Amino acid sequence: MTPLESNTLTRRTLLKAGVAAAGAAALPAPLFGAAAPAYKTRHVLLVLFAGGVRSRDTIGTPSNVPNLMRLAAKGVVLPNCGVANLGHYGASLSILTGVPEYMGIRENSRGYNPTVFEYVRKERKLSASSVWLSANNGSQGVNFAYGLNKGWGAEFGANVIDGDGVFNQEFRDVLSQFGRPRADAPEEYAALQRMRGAVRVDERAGKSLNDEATAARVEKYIVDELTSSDTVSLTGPGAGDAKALRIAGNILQIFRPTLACVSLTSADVAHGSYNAYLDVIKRNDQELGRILDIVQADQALRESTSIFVLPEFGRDRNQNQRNGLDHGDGSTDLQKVACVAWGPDFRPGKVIDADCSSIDVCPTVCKLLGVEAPLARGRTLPRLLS
Amino acid sequence: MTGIGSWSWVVGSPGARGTVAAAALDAQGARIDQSLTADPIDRRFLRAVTIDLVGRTPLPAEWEAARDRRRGDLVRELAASLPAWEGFYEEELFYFLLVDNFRPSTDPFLAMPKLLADRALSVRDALLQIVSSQFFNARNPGNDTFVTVILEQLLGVTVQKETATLEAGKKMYDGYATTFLGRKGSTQADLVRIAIEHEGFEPFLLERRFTAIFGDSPPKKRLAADAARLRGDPLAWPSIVSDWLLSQAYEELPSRPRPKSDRVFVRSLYADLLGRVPEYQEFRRSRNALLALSDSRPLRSVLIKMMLDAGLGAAASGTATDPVRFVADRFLHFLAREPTPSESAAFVRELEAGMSRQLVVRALLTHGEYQTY
Repeated sequence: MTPLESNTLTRRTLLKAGVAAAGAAALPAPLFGAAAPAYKTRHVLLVLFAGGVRSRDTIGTPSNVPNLMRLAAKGVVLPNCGVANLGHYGASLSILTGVPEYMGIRENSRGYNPTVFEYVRKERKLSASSVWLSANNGSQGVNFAYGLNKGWGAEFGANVIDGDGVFNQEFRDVLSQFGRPRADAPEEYAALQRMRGAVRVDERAGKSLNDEATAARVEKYIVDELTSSDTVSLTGPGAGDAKALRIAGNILQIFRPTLACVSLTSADVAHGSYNAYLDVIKRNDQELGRILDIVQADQALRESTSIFVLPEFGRDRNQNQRNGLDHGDGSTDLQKVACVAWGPDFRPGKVIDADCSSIDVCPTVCKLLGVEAPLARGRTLPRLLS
Repeated sequence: MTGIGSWSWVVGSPGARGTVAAAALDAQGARIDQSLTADPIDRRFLRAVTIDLVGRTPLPAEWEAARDRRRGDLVRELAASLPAWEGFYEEELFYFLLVDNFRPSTDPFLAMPKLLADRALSVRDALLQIVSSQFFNARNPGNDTFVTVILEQLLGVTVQKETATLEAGKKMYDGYATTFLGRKGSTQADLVRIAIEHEGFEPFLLERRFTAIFGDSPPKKRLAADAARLRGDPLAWPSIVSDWLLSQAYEELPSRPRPKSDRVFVRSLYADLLGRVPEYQEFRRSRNALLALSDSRPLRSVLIKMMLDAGLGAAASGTATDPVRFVADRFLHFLAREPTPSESAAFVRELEAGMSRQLVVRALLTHGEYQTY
C-alpha cells in the first residue's frame, strides 16, 4: 500500500513507504524526455496555500476566496488531488520534490530528494536570483531551498526569505535601536561597489548561494522593503502568511524570477478555531488577489506567467471539541485537495476530475519550464498540458 | 575514514610572535589599534581560535592580552576560560533548539558556564541538566518526540533503524519498567541518565564538536582515544579541545576559509565594530532575522549599514591620519591581513576622492572575505 492509497496514514506507515520510495527512486525511469521550450510559460508562481486547508472552505465556498475563484474561472481546477503526507513539513516538501516524503520527528532538517528549485536552476543554469521561495515556515523554511542529494544541492538552491522572520516586531526593535538605514547616494554606492570589487576573492572559500552582484541586489531589495514598503507593518492573525504573499508579489516585480514559490502555514490555527482559520483563508486570498493584479497589470508577466495554488493537505471533516479542525481523520476532506492552475498554457475554465497527486506538481512545473525532474515520482498533472 | 585522517596530529610549536613594529602604528593610535603589533599570521590564528572557542572574534582587550604570549599557553588558557564555556553553553542550547521561549532562564542554568569554568561541573553533567530540564521537556513534548531527540541528539542514533530502541525508550518515558540501551529503568529521568551514561555519548559529543571546527569527521583512532580520555576524566574537555587547536591539522585550516555562522557573525560584528559583546536580546533579534534567509549575507550587509548609519563603530574606524596607514589598519582589524598593493591603492583612491572612512569600513565588512575566517 502506498501512502496515497492509505486511508489512515501514520508516521510509521509513511516510514515504510518512504523506504519503498527510496528504492523505486533508484530505478532508471525518467518520467518524460527533455522538453524543448514548447510552452509560453516563462515564469511560474507556485503557492503552497498550506497549513491544512479543505477544498470545501475554498472552491467549495467561493465567497471565502473570490480571488482564487478569479484564477479558477480563467484557469483549470483539479479537485481530486491526493496528498502525500499528513505532516505539514513533509507534505509541503513532497510537493516541492515530487516524492512522497517521510519526515521524522526532528523535522528541522533537509530532505534527501532534489527540489523543483534545484531541477530548474541546474538544468537552466540559472542564478539564485531567478529562483525564490517566500516562506512563513520559521526555521523550517530554509530547508525547502535544497535537498541533500549530491547530484544537486546547495549550489542550485533557492533564495529563501521568511518575511515574518525579517520584517517583524523584533527586527523593528533592531531598527529602532539603530535607526532605519538611509538610502545610498548613487556615487557613494558606486564607490562602495568599486572597493568591494577591489578586494581579492579567495577562491578557496566555498561559494555562497548568491554571487557578489546578486547579493548586492538582494541587499538593496531588503533595504527598500525596510524603508519604502508596508510589508513591515502587516500585523495581526495570519500576518506571517500575508507577508510571505506580499513579498512574493514584490519579488515577481523586482527579480522577475523563473520560479517563485510561496509557502504558507497560518491556516493551521484551525486546530483551535474554525473562525480564525476562515479569517486566514480570506486574508490570504486577498493577498493572492494582489499578486494576480500585479501579474495582470504587467503585459510581459501576464503573457508568460503560470500560477499553481494548492494546500499540502486538507483538514478533518468534522470539528473537534474546541470548535476547531484537526488533520487526522483520514477523510476525503483531509486527503483530497484542489489544485488550481492558471496560465497561458492552460485552457480556461476547465475542471479536470481525474485523480492526481500533489507530487505531480513538481514534474509539471519542470515540464512547463523545459527541464526534467528525474527523481520525482509524480507524473505531469493529467490533461493539463497539451 | 575521512579526508582528515592522514593529517598530522603533532602538537605545534609556539608560533612566531608579532614582528610588525610598534612604529607601524599611528603615534596617536587608539588602544584598539595597539594589537596590530601581532603579525598577520598570529593575528589570524588568534582570531580563529577565539571564534572556535568563544564564538566571536577577540575583543580589544583580548587582542592586547594575547601579545607576547606563547601559543600553547594562550590556547589552553582560553579553552578553560569563562568566555569559552559561555560559548560552549550557547552552542549546546542552540544545538538542542533551546532558544527564544525555550531558553533556560532559571538560576542553575545561568550559573552553568561559571561552574564549568570553575571545574565544578563537567560537560556530561551540564548536558544531563540541560536535557533533564523543563525547557527541554517543553521543547520536545510527548514520548515519541522526546525519546527520538534524546537518541538522535545525544547519541547520533538514526531512530528509523533502531525502532526497538525507540519503542523501549517510549515505554520507559511513560513510566513502565523496561530495558533501554541495555539498562533497566522506569522513568523519564532514568531514560536521560542511561543515554548520557551510554558509551556512545562521548564519541558523539566529541565528533560533532570536532566536525564543527574542522568541517570533517575526526580520525577514528583519534576519536576513540579522546572519547576514552573524556570518559575517564569528565573535566578533560578543555584539554582535549586545546590539543585539537594546537595540532598541525588546525594549522592547515586557513588554507580553506570557513564560513562564519550567523551566531559567530553577529557576535564578531559587535566585537569588531563596537568592541563589545552583544547583549543577549541584541544578539537574538539579529540572529533570528538572519536565520530567515537561505543566504543571510545580504541581510548581514543591511545590519552593518544600519549600525554604521547610526554612527556606531567610530572606534573601529581607527585614528590613523595617513590614508595608506588607515586602510592597512582596517584590513588588519577586520580581515586579519595586510592589503595587497592594488587593494590599498583602490581604497586610498576612494578616500582621496572624498569618500568617507565609514564607507571603507562598510566595504570591508560587507565583502565575502569578512564572512569567513
